[in-house]
Amino acid sequence: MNIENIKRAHQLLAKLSDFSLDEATQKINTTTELDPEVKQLALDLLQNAQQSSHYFNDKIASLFSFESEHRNQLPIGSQIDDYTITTLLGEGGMSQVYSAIRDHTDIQKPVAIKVFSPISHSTELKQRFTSEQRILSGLSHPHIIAMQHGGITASGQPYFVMELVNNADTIIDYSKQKNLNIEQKLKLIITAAEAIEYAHNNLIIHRDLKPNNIIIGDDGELKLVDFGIAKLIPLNHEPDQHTMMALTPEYAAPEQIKGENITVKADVFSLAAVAVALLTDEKPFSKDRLLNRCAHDELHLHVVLKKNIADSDLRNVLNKALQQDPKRRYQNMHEFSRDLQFWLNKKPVSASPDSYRYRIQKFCQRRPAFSASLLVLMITITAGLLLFSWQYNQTKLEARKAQAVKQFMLQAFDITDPNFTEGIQVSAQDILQMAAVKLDSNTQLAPGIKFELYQSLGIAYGQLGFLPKAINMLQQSLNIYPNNSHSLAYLCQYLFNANQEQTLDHWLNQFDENKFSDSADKNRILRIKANRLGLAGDFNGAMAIINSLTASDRIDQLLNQRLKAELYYLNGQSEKSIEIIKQALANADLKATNTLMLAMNSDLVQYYDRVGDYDTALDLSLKLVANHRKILGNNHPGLGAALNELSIFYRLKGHFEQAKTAAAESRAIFQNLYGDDSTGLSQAISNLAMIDYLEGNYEAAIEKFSQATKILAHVYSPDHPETLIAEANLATIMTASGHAKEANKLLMHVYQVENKTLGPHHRSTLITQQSLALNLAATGNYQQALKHAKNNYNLFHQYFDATMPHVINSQFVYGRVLSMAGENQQALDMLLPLEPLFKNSEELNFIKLSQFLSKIYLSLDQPSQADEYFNKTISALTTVYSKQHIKTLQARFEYAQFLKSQQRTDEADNLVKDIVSIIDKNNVSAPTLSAQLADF
Amino acid sequence: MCISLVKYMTSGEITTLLKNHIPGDNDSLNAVYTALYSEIKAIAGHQLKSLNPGQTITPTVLANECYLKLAGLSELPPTDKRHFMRYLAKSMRRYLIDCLRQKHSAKRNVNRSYTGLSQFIGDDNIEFRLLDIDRLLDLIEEIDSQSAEILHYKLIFNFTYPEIAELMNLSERHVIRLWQQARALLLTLVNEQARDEH
Repeated sequence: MNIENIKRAHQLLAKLSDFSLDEATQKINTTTELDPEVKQLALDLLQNAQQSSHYFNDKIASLFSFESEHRNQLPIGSQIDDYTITTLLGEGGMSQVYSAIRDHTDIQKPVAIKVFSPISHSTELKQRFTSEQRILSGLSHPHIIAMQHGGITASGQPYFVMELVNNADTIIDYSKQKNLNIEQKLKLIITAAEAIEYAHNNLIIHRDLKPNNIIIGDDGELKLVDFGIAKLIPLNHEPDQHTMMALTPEYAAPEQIKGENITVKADVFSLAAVAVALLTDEKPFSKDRLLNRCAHDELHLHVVLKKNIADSDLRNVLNKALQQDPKRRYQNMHEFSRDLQFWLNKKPVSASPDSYRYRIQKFCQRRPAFSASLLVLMITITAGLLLFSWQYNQTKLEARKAQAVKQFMLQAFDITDPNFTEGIQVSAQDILQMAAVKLDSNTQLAPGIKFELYQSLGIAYGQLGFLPKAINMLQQSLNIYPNNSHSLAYLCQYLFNANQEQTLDHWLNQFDENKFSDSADKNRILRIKANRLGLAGDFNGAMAIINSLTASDRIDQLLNQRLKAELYYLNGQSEKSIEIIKQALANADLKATNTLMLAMNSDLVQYYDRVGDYDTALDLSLKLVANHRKILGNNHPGLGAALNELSIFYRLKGHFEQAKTAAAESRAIFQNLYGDDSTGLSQAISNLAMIDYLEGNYEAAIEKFSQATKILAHVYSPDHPETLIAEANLATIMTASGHAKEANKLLMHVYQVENKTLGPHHRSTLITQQSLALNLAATGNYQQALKHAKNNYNLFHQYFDATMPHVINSQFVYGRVLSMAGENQQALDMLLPLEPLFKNSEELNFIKLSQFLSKIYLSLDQPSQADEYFNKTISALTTVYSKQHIKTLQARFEYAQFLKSQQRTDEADNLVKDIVSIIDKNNVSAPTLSAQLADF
Repeated sequence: MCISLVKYMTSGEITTLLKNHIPGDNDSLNAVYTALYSEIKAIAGHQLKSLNPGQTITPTVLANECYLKLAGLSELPPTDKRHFMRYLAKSMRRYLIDCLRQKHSAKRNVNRSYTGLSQFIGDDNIEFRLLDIDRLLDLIEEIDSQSAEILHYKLIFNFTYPEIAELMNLSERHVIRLWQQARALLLTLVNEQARDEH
């Protein structure tokens, strides 16, 4: 510490005492004083002068105002009013509690008397005390300690007489003793909340909620005590300065610590803090929160919650109650306790994120975000750096440093050094989260810097695929600079990716992208608009926008091309898509592991698949996987994602074993990296589930799908589109395996929401409608089913190209529903044209089609055609599954039954014998089938 | 509180000491401090005896008592008065630290009876903290004696702005501004010191 410098700084500042904060800052920065340390000290002085006197009082003034003596205790037997003291029960900061009995009565029910230190000079305080205790005696609630009356002793000591609780334990001790579980603990909190709510309704805020003030007697009854510094809710909201000294900072709300306006929300905060302590056995906040004005509160809390509470909904509830800003908390006790109750009842809580719009990707396996996981490495390191620099010198993050860090993060678009594969952090998300939280709670960074960091973090999150967080960060950045085109563009991008249609609309209406000075940002917005049009079927409108775009740089151009290709794909011209992508890739001067490159290659796989060039598609897909392995190793999430894609592709082709292997490896990777909690894992499990389903292992499929769904509900939320997709898949499987009724409600719900939010002819809505139609038919609601199937067919043909797989599928669905409803001739008309379409490419669909046709012909009493299709079915099954597969055998058995019905008994018998021998020879496990064969 | 038997100085004796003390002369200065310290201690002991159970003593009260007792000093010319306050404040600081030291060495029960200092500052040794501030106050005196003066008035004597304004012969507004600056200076020094320690 350099005295000379400090002196000079102090003098410098003294000269500037007439200027405003900004002016003074500027003057300091431009002063002729040359020593940088002096300048910095002057700035520090200036800043410290802005600190409220509360801060000063906490840190320093309090040191000078302690008592210098033990307090004397009231001796046993002494009198207070009509009571005689019997024992000292306890001592607190400002008071002592005795048990006492009333004189002159036969009733020997003891009471508790709380005696405060004498209030020396202030008559004002005395008056306040008297009025307070009058109000408090008016509180009558089973869970609030009954205040009988109060007064002031002759020696000037205020006291309360209250109900005595026998053998009271604090809520934490009690729960430890009785070994309570989460539910029981939360019930206690809810009880306390109700009592506090009652007090609030009587205009009393407790203000000092802490475990010691929530006691439970030996009758198991909870009681709130020590409304001792409770105050009337002020009618004019002046900040209250009188009760600082008595606060227990561990559970106090930030506004109490900062000396700001106190409302009922302060009690919400404190009770939630107690809840956290109760549930986790840890303190929610760090010891020095008073000195730091709650700066580390959020981070500390986050760590404690994440560590101890597994359920994200519960964490959300507690977080909401513990928001630093009272405006963001539950508005009152009732809301808080209600959400807790909801959680206990397993209902959705309001604290979890809002329902998003839906993006159903059931049959469309394009997952553009997977490649972003490659950025995990870069982001980890960068975020780590960010944290490090923050921790190192919190108040001194210079603009220069922030800029450098930001650059570093944004360069993460390119992975330049494969050596970064080492040391991949599992907790990248956590690190980012911590960085975000630190940023939120740091009040000393200049707005400009905060903005940069919010924006960078937002984009980083977005690249990783953590869309809700990305959106949140970017919105925060826009709170600082509302017109920043870069933030707006990325925000809209991520809102679009997350299908938050309404929010997206809202934002798009806030600005005109033509006014953006940065053309990359403008293009980003225009691409979103074009993409939306494309998804809704307006190919021409979308193309018009794309063609009007002028690329600002090579990345921009690639993005434009990529979108163009997608539009063509949506319009059924996948050959054009291939052309465009190939050209773009050839001219792109990017590394093979660049996210955009990988994404486009992934698109290309899909396009090849669509045009029927399966060899190339498979080849490319394999190449992608190999690329990942070679460059990024066997344990990389990007590899996991690529394997998932590969698995889907194999499955579509009917190569189930390879599909299983790929998905299993993916599952292992994700489990290894992220534990039980990642979307990649969920996808892998879904893929395995699909194979189970296709192999006829319905129970296993259902179990896996449930597992996948649970993961998604956990990672996102139960109402998130991803979760709902998974649930809808589950519904489909359930329908197919005979649990159609359970599935019905779910599908109905999904469809209704999509219909409302996306519109009736949005691709997602229509896809859901198909599932719904089939499900309704399966449960016998033929009228409804037909209505939907027909509507679906019409809409698809109206808005989309007839060669698109979904459009074809709508025909398939319609046909099947017709047949299930008994309209066999019409069904035939629908289904027959599909045969050539499915025959060479959609093996599984072909099998299904043939089965249906055989049954239809049977119903129409056209046995020869039925025969033809039975054989087609069997032959296809044999090819895809194998001769000894149970599906094949079952189909052959059905054929045998058909033969029998046609009086072709010999053929039937021979067939059955053959089936039996295959079962025996190959040890096929088929108990039901074997039984049926025996009966035959 | 141990009350040692100490010769009470009369106000006259202290005044004389003050008048006669040569600035810069350590011996005479020490004499003043010793005298004041003893006064403070005596008054403190006396005060405690007269308290009711549960009542407490605070430095402010103590300081005021001292000041009042040495009432003869009100006849002191203003500059001397200020000098006296300075000495009194410094003595008070010593006294507070000593009290704290005593308390720490005595047996404590778990329920600390003094107003939750440990809650505010954690389980740090409060005595050390006070020593730090004490030292910094000395430092501040070197940097800007006016700031140190104001800090004494506010922290120890708890004078009001009008009282300080009168004592220092300044406008209230000026006093408030000086107080803000003084606080900022102290806080900055506390932070600087913390930084140095790391």
